[in-house]
Amino acid sequence: MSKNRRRIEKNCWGYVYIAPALLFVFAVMLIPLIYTLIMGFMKTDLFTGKIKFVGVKQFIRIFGDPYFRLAVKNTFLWTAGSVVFQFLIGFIIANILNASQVRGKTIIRILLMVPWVLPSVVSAMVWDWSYHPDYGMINEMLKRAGIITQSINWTSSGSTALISAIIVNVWKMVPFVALMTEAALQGVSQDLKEAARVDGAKSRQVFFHIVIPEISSSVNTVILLLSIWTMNSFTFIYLLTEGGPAHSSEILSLYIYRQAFKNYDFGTASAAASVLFVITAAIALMYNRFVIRRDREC
Amino acid sequence: MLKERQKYLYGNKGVVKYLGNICAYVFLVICIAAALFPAIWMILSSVKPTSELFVSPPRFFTELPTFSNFSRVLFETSIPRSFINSFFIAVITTGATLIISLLAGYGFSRFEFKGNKTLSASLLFGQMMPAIVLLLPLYKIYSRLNLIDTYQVNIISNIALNIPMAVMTLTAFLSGVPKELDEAGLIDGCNRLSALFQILVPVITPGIVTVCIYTFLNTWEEFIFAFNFTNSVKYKTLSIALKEFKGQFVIDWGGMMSAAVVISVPVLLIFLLCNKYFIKGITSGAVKG
Repeated sequence: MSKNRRRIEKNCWGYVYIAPALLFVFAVMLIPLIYTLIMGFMKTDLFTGKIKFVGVKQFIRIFGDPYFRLAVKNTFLWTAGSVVFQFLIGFIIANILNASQVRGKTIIRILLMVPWVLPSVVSAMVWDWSYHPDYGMINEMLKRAGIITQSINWTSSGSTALISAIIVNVWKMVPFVALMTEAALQGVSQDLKEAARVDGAKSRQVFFHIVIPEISSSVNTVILLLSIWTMNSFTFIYLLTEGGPAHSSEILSLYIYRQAFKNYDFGTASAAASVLFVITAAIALMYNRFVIRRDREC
Repeated sequence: MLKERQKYLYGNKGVVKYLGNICAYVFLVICIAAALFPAIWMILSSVKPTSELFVSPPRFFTELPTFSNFSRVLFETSIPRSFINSFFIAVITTGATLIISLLAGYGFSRFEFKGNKTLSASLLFGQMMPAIVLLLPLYKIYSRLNLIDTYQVNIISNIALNIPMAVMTLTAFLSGVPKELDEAGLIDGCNRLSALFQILVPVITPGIVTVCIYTFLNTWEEFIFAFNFTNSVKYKTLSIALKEFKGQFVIDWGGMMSAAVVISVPVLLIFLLCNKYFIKGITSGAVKG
């Protein structure tokens, strides 16, 4: 009896300690999220402020909107392009740092981390200045290297706007991938690798059959995190191109922003936001599965 | 002896290895140059006189370094005021986030209650919540509460944005401390709060420093909420003040680069002093995109 009472008392105290944190997360994340999901099915009259239920009409409308479809396509290009290069470059750096006898690894790590540390707004502005068609350094360096002869209008031409934002995003996130992967590589057992080598495995075989399986769950985690962050990111594209020119670099987050704060079409914005949330949640659920699997293996 | 063993293990592929090493070095050097280039270009541009900023083709170095851009930024713009705003908001947010998350971490790691696992897992989703999905409803809620264009709006939003990663990190650190440690304190007669703050906090200092650094920097650079929820000079943060250098028609690039340096200096200082905590933060998952 007394043991039972003590357990109940313990139960209550646990909730008390986590209550403030939950309160903030509920008020600023959960309630707005639910509101968005409901408002996707509601239409707000701008003048009277009246809200009425319109079913899936707004979802049908956004899927018929060519700009929405363009935004979905751009989101896919932006996410895939960013994540592939972020991962490849970061993965190669991690392997070099882990395998070779480079001296001064600490200082190399610090230098490589500068993009990750600089505030995003600062990075966006400095890159914007570097992309300047007349006075920017990027065109100048490419010209001197003989790669281009004519200046490129990086952020203000439809064919390069999204690419220039992808370059900035890759630049920013490579250090994150490199450090995460390096930590995973350091966790691979040296004995296992040596044992395989003694048994006559070539270094390529060791890499693909021992190192890769050992680090795969951390690598999956990194890729899923990168995908979610990139898909929902707003700052870089907004500051570099504002989704332009002519919507050519408008990803879903900018489409939602434009519908909500420029066109004041709250219903459409909420419907599009719900779509974005569902995609994110699907990826997050995958992530959760990987994390749980990793924890179980440990 | 070790060398001989390595030679036996790896075979004698000297030349291939040598070439491979050179490629690796070249790749590293290119990556470091690319990583540092924008920061260097920012500093070089900030000390150029206006006449030299706008020459085509651009030159890397200037012969007449000047601080006129800096003096314009410091005395003729709202940057100093925004600096104080950002600092104030970031300090309050960091303190509040730390205390709230320490309590929550203590709750998750020391008590068994219904929904413990589910709630701590759902924090993971909080860490990935797209800010853009929350923006419009939050704007409506904040305007209803008359919070638009105040300090509170930035502080509340940033606390909520940082709580998931802070709680996850601190829970992980606290779970690593044996329960016997604070239970001994409880038996000796301290209450739960003093057990947490006097016995556990000193043990998990690295986790606390990591959480503080990331919370401070996330708040320092937060853009989308600050940009939409505040607009007057009195409450504007640095991110917004910097963005405003990019006017509709004229862009004061020299001023913008100097302001960018002013914003980056505290960040780079913290980074140089505590870089091991940055790496710890990344590898222990104390990050958000």
